[in-house]
Amino acid sequence: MLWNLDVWREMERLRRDMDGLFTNYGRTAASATYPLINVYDGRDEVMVTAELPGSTKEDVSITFSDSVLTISGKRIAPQSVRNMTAVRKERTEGEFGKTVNIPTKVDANNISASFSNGILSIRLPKAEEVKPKTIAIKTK
Amino acid sequence: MTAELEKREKQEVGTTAAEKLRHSGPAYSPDVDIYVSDDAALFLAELPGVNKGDVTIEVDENQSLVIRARTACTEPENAVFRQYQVGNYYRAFQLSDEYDKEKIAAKLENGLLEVSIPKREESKPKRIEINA
Repeated sequence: MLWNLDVWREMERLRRDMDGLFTNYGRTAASATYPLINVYDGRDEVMVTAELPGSTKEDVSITFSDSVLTISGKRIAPQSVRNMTAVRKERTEGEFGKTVNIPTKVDANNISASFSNGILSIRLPKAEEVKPKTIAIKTK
Repeated sequence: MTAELEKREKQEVGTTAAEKLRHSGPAYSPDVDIYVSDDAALFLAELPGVNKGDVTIEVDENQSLVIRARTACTEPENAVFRQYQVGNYYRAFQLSDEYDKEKIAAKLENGLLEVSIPKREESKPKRIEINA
């Protein structure tokens, strides 16, 4: 009976939510979709980091146009779980995509990205005209 | 001095894996998938930002599989938008007797930890041939 299945799923969800109150409190944004990102606003650059555990740089593509940064790719279960049955599933699989609006003018030709231990870091250098300028005080 | 030493010793002895981690900053619970087959169980744990050497996997006195990991990330201070926190990870699972805790194998690749635990020989399902 389908109705039955849904009740169990709902209870499992509730249990996880309650669990999360204590163990995961504040780690991740509740409604956020995969991948989770943080945005840092530095003096000379904007940095966007994304958690992509299990992915390699070949699995992820990054585009930037009209001040919108897009991170997309596909996540598949590792080879080692072939012919095995999932008894607990907290991770998600399948295609993902995330767009971030970069509210400041950046130098689109010099955007760089690196991938380390499942964390993607994208650095967007700010355009010359929006970088803070230091104004020297002239002595009379 | 002696009192101090005694105190320290007590702390060392009295601290469980979880407590040790608790004192080293926030520890978060990673998302985990568990897969099973006729002869093994496989845990997939998401540990983004963790280097190979910074994971400890142990079976504690309660026969629980304990995964602890220390993040290698240091965060810039100027976050303007945040969906995740940077921190260490901790998660434990109770293992049943059918698993061989002496033969746990693990690997960490790109922030994804794979822990495989074989079943004991005597717990594996036996195929019975039908004769004639």
